Amino acid sequence: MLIELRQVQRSFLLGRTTVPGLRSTSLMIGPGEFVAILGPSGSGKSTLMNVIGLLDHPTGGALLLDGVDCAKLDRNKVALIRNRRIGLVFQAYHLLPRQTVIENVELPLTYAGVRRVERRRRATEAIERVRLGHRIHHLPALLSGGEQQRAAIARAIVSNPDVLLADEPTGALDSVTGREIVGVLLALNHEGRTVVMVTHDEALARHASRVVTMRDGQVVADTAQRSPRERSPWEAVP
Amino acid sequence: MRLTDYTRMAASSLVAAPIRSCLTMLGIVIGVAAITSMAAIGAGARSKVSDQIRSFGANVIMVNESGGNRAGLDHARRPLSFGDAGAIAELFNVSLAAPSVAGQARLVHGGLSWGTTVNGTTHDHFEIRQWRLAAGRYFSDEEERSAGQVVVLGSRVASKLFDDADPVGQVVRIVGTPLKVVGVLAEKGTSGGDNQDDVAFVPIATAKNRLIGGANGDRNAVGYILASAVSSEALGEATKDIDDVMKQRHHVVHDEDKGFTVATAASIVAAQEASTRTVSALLAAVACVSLIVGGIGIMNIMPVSVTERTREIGLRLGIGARPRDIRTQFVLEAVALCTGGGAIGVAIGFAVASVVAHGANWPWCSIPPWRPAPLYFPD
Repeated sequence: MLIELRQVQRSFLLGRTTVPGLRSTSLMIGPGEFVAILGPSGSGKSTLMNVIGLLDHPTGGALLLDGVDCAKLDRNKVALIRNRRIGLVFQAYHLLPRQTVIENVELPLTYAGVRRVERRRRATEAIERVRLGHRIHHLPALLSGGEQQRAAIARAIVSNPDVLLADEPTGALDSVTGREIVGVLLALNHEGRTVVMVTHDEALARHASRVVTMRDGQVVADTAQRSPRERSPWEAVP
Repeated sequence: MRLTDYTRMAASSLVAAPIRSCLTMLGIVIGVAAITSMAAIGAGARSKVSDQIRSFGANVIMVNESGGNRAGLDHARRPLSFGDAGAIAELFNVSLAAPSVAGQARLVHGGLSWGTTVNGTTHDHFEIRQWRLAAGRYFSDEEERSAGQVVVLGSRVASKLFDDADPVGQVVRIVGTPLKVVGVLAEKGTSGGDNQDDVAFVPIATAKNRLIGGANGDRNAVGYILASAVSSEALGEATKDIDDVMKQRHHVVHDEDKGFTVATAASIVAAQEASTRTVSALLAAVACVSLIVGGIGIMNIMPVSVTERTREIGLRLGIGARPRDIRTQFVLEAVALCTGGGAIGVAIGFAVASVVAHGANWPWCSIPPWRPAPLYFPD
């Protein structure tokens, strides 16, 4: 099992009040799955994503990656996992505004200590895979929302991670561009990569092989669907 | 992560916010510029003083009559004499001694005249002061003995009386006495505010017999004695020896009654240097305060910069940066700001020092990069 959450809890302290984000959530995600985490605002799906992405620590329970309890890892090991095994895609893209597309995409490889020539080669390859080759030396401000998200996806996959975590990747995009981005995620899943996508859009969630529905910090439904591998990766693209 | 990548990342972050980077650097620029200019100006001033000592003659000792004795009985003192000069020249640590007289006189050539200091001295005077010739020769031993009517002009006097013409072989008149110009001295520049080139030298016998008259009417008396120590190391010892022999010759019991002073060029300029030392120290302190303020400025800006870039830091951590990577990046940014600010400050400091040196007619004295600046601070 690639990702396993055992009774994970995450609560936040707001003044003197403790607000639960996740209440005793258990979940297992296997290699090659395309999981959509569906739920309304405040249901805890982004909190869940942050815990899986090692951006946040659970206040209870355990998160295991390949059977290893992440609570026992030091900060450098956690950074190494984030760098090599997890790719993150955010709703707001979070590209560095004064760096070109290729410089943004190179960043994880820079932290991995990859030499510059090799970085350029791999970053260019990742950018080509998301079909953004014509924008390689552009600054993010000169790109459309969809192109920026593609650049963010290229950055997430450049280290060839096992898992791609996308938090509302289409949230800031129009529906057509959103479907294009889902197409990109499906294509990556087709190559065997595990994709976990947070969304509140049920239509987009239908493209996943499995839909985990959350409400009030808990998993309320976990439904398998027809595997995206059985469909064309570009089926979502009109 | 590699050092080159850290450096590139820090540089790109600084370039990305040029105004913030420039303003942060400003304090360091001002501080370093102040310290550099202070150090360079101080070094220039000291170099000027050294040049003055050198131009006067590095190992020169001057014996002068002093104002009076303890009882205020000027008439009771013994004047300096040829005999004193001879005794001084015999001392172990003294290489040469030149008895001299000096007075103000007007030199006339054709329709031009120029008032200057006329020195009656011996050939040794030129050796002691390491005064080279620009043209002609010094006066000879024979001319010294026979009160020859010859004169050696300082470069300023020569230019005032002869303009661009060659003065050697020409005749000038001093107090109505015609004197043949046999040489023109090389330029020495100013010393202690005096133009050393505004001078004329004649044999001491000529000066005493024909121009100035005997000091205090005594044919054996001289106005002052110039001597030179055998080496700069022996200067102190030579000064003491001269003082001792003079006290012995003048039968001095108490130092207050001795009626003469023995001084070196270095001791004269040391007094001048001491007066500037306090001001230099004060300016150096102000410069240091500027630098400290600049450093505190950077120290304050960096946490602000971290706060401003929380999102960026979060992203970097999210894609695999270790806390150490982020820390290194920010430290390198601070180092780059300090280094850049320092470099600009040094350039501005040198520019200011160069302007000041030009204005004050000092030698331009840059600080060699392999010597730390504090070595140039005022003593």
